[in-house]
Amino acid sequence: MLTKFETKSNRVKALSFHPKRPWILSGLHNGSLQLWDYKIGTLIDRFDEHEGPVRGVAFHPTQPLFVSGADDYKIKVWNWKQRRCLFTLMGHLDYIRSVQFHSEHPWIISCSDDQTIRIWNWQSRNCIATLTGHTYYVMSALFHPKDDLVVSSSLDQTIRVWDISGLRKKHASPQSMQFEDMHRGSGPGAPGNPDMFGNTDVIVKFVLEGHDRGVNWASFHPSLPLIVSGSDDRQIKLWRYNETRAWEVDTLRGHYNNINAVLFHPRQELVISAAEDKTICVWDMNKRTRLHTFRQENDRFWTLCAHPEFNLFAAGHDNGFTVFKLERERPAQSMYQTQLFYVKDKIIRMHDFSTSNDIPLLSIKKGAALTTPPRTMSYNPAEHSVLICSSADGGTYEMYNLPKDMSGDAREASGDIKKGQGNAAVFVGRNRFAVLSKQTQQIVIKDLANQPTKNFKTPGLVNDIFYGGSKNLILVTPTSVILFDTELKTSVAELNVSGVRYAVWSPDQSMVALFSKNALVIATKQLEQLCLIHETIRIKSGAWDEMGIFVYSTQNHIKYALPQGDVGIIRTVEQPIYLTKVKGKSLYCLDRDGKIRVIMIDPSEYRFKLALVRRNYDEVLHIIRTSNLVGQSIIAYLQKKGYPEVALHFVKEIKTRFELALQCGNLDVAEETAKVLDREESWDMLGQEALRQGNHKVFERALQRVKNYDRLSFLYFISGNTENLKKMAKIAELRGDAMSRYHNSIYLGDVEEQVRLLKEVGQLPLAYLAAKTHGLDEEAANILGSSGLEFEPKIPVSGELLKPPAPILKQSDLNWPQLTVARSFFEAGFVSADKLGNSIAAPVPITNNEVEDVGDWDDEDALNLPDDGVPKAKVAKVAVEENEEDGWDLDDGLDLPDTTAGLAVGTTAAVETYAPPAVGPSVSETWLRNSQLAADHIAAGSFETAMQILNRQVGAVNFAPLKAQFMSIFQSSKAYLPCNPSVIPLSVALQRSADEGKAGRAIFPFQPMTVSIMISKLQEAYTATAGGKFSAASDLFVNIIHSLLFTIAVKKSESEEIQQLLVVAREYILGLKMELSRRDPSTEPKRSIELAAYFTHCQLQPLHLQLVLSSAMTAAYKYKNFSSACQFARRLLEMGPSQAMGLKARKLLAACENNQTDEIALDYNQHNPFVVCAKSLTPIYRGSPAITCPYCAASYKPEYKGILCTICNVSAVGTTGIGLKNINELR
Amino acid sequence: MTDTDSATLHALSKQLAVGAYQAVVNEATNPATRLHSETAARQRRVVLARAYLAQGRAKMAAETLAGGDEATHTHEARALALLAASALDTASASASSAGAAAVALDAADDGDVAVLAASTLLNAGRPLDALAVLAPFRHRSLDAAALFVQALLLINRPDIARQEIATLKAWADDASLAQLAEAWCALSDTDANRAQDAFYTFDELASAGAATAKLLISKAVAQILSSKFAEAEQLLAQALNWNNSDPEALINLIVCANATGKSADVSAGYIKFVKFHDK
Repeated sequence: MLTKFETKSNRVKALSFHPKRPWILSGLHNGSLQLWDYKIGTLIDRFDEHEGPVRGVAFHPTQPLFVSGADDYKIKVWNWKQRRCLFTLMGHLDYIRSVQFHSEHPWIISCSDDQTIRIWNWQSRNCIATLTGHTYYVMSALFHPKDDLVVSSSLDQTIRVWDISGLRKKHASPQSMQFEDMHRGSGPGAPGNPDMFGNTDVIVKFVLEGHDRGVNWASFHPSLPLIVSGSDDRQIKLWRYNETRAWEVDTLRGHYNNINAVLFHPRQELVISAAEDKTICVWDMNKRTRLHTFRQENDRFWTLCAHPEFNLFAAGHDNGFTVFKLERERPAQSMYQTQLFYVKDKIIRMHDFSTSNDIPLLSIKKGAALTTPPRTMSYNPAEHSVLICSSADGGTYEMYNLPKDMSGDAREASGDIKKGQGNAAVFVGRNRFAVLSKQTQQIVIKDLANQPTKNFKTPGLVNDIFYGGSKNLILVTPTSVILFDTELKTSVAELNVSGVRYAVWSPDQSMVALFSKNALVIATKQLEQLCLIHETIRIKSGAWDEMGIFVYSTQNHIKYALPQGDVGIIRTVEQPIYLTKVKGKSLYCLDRDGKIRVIMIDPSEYRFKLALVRRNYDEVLHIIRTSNLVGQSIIAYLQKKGYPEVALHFVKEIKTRFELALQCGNLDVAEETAKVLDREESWDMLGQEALRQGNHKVFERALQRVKNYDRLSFLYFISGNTENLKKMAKIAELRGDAMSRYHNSIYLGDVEEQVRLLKEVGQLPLAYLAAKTHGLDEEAANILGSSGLEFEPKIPVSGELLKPPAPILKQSDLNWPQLTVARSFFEAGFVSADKLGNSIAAPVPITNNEVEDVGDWDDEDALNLPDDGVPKAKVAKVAVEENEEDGWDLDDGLDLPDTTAGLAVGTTAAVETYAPPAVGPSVSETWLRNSQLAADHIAAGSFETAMQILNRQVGAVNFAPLKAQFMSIFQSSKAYLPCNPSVIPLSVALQRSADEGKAGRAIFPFQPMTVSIMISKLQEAYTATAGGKFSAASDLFVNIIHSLLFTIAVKKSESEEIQQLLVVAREYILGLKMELSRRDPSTEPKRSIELAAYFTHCQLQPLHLQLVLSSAMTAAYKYKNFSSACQFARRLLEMGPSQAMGLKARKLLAACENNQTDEIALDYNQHNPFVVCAKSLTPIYRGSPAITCPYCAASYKPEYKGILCTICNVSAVGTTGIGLKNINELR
Repeated sequence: MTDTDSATLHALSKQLAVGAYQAVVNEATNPATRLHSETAARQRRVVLARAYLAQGRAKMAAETLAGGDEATHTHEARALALLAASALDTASASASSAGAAAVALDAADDGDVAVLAASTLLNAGRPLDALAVLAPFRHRSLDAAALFVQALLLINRPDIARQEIATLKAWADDASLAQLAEAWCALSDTDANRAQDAFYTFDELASAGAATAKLLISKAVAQILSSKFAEAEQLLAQALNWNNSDPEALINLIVCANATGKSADVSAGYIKFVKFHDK
């Protein structure tokens, strides 16, 4: 039993779940009603209008209503939206024990200590039936969920089943009601009374007797004709009924005090009961056995209710109520790459996300899933097995090997199922798993045979374990998680986070998300905390995105967390889901029924944030351009996180844009926006920023805008812009600002102006001083004279003349060198729409590393490469000598004494006596022995024998053109495995998969040239031919004909294909040879037509033949050989050529029809079959002597015997061979 | 030797085994990790020297061992110098091997020297001599055992290698080096199915972000042997990201290029690259 929510309150006598919202309504003994949200655990509302204990409450299934009945004899109907009581139904004469809404009709059923049951219409607000018959308090009365039945229980020790179909008939169809109303003239005002025919609306169907004491509760099974009842006789009874009778089925005993409530599980075959013995019991409905008992120490249970849709229950007791589940609904699951393994309906299933296949694998009905659903599952990809943990029997685990072929139905788990006791078990390696026992606080590492290999004590109280990377475990203690190395048996790291319930590793195993009920921690694989996120709502599950974002689900949200701590909501969910995988926009999850659901989400927000965090600006830019991420939140986020420059590109609003531009120092944008704003403070701010950056041109413009003359003057002064300073002086004069004029004159060093100004403003002594000190004696005297001063003002002796520095550089229209403002990627990116290439020119460290074993192909010219391995002669000799003395045996006397004292002696002795084993046959030798194919010999490195084989088989004499093939085969025969450091790598042979199994155990090297590769090469060559690239095509065909020598056939049919390919290649090479020769400008017309004609007799693809015929036709026509041209044209037309080609042929035919002559006599007779001599390129008509190439079977005139075949360039013409082999036969 | 010492050494040699050479260097030169016993300190120096050597930094390796001046150190230093010569210059391998055999005899009770000398002998193509040198230590030293297995595989005796691994696993449990040796053996097997086993072993060792160029190449070799060339090429490309002139990665890339029927230019390109780095 899993407690989900608990309250503390007065005694709870009645409970009801809201069918849709996470609400529960409780009726208390003190007369109040409380409405709780059990998901977030808050009291939503309370209603205190009843006087006396509320014993019955019920929500309406669809309307915003609920009903309550209490000891004040009142039934109240409430609207929870309006939060008030709508009306009160009066009629009962004693305490009301239960109330319930009907699922369809506007009816309420209630029962009371007045020994009656009443049915009310809450729309007309009157009582429509009174059910009498019970002879003592009626404790419960409930409608059947579907049928027209009512079940009631009473302290008269009976249970009654009532038939209300009459009531339905009367009230359900309004017409008939009106009709009857008219006739009877009484209406429903006389409830339960017999109508005019003596029938009552409600009749007692059955009276169930069997309990020895009063019956407190009775309820229907939702679908089966069953009733369960609980009584003060401490028994639960099951009853069955049919149309005509009802009988007792069985009694469930076990409670030792009054049973107050009992009900059927809405979806499972269980019965749940609550009693005053302070227990809640769960019973198996079929076996009638008790499965679980849940005991509360001090509280008697008074009421019980089941959620109509979820697997939730609530029980009211003396001090509040509890909302609980019977079992976990989280399906056990494990993810491997794209495969999800999970348990549904006691069957292990596999779901492949790449193909969406969902296959049942193994039924575990009899095993781990027997009583309770499994808790966790750990999958081992290497062994294709799973570990399933279950909490049954104090914690057990079982290991199952999953079937290899994943087809058909789930089979029963069979064979030896490895099982054991343990609270948690996970695989820690491909052949090891760890089992935690909580009682003993031991962790046992076991191998696949379920045998313990290691055993250690936990470093503290450990509640759970998780996979922690290869050979590591994550141990969960109440206050921390510990990374534990099982190999070294030491703790590697510890992170303080309390109550962790799940650990989810990122796909690359670099980060782990640990979450407890209300907190999520993302840590590195060394358990360094990256972020801690608190949630108010329980975290249910999580999965990593491929990019390193953790997506998790809470009770009602799907959220994401970035490793550095940013969190956001992706969407809301109605019901808890268990995330398994996030891929792009798809979120894969399991729901509580074990169904796989795919939820589409918009990942752009978190992708965007992640890209920002990782400074992956390309991506940021891409997202900004392609998605519609806008809104205040994202702008605020960007600003907060210090990415004003990015935010700038989202914002259109001028003021914000201006502020952002200033923040990121983008003066261009700032000035632009400032112009629009045109407010003094914005110009000031712009000026400040420009000044900070040293951009005095912008500063100047800003000052000009706000007419800050003083600062402008000073700016001109310090920037040496005397021109503008003079202008400023003028302006100051116009403005009549003496102070400003004086300043400007000082900046300019204009003494006359100073003196004049001082005189103008009447500061004559100062004017005199100015003039005097600057040596303007005449002027000074004038002033003195005109002012009428008595005496000469004293001139300080120690003073120095103020002289403004002369500007050295007068480039006032140019800016100064400025503060480097980080020109972000974005500015460039946005300004010019084309993307900047990210040039990552990482310096390439050229280290002089150990390159030991390249010798094998280092020396390409020597075909006879040294066999890798060891000097054989010597090795063999040593081996023979040693071997005769003493067979090398592993356990033979080499077990060295452990003591150090004996060590010296022992080791030296061992050095002398150690007999190394004989050198085994190398794989290459095996190949040589097994194979009759040249290709295999090449792979084995024995080029000599390969050449001999080729000579024998196809009379090959020229191997130079085959060098590329030789090298390619040899180079792909072995892979090189680095083993111990600084030691040459181990060469391992690549094997060919067995030839359909019939070659037995014989092993052959891998061969790169297969028929399918040859066919693809042929396609390539065809393409080149059709494209008129004759010499390229010819080269390709030659390559094919050479490669065919080494092509391996897997079966007979492939061997035939190779022969066909050989013929095709030969014909094309011959034809292309003639075509190339024809195109040689030195070729005479006669020869040219002949060659074209011969070409048409090569065995070509129809399409190619059409091209050839067309060109032959054109050639013949060109030299006025109309007759031949006609022949070609006819042949062409027979082939059904393309329209253009056909048109051309017909035209030509028409032109030549009347002139069937040949200008040049040709050595060509199309009706006499011939082959073309590959050397002379002349026809050899049938019957004439001819010899052939032993490999490609190209024909030659007898005089060419012994020359190298011009087609394949490999074999000698006229010799014989035993024929090319491309498949190894069994010997 | 205390427990913490042996744990430290164990972790170091595991790093060395999986090819995380820089991690070894970082760890072993970290002044914060102090070793309590002199033996442990000496063994750590040897591991460090081997890591340097594996990185091709022969000079650093030599200096590491030159530090001590006790008699045994000179054996180690000599053995190391010879190994360095043989590993970095294939031509001088046979010359070095003679010296190595001599050193092994001189320091017949030193497992580290034996490993270094046997490495030299293997490089010189004398696996039988290497076996003889290693034999006394193969039940005590993981390194020796791993080298022993390699030598056995080199002389095409996977059968004996398998026996050897069985005994090795009996006392070394599932140490990384033992697992590696088992995987090498599996790859040398003629049964292609076992290549997949080996792949999982490498994959497991490389999991949890502990991937190294060596493990990546090893994984690639396992894939090659299962004829999964495309996957192998990917892995090798990753390995080249660690060291773009890694000879083993390049060599195996040549194998892949040939095996998948890529045009001759591709493999020729790799060969050129190998030669360039080989000088």
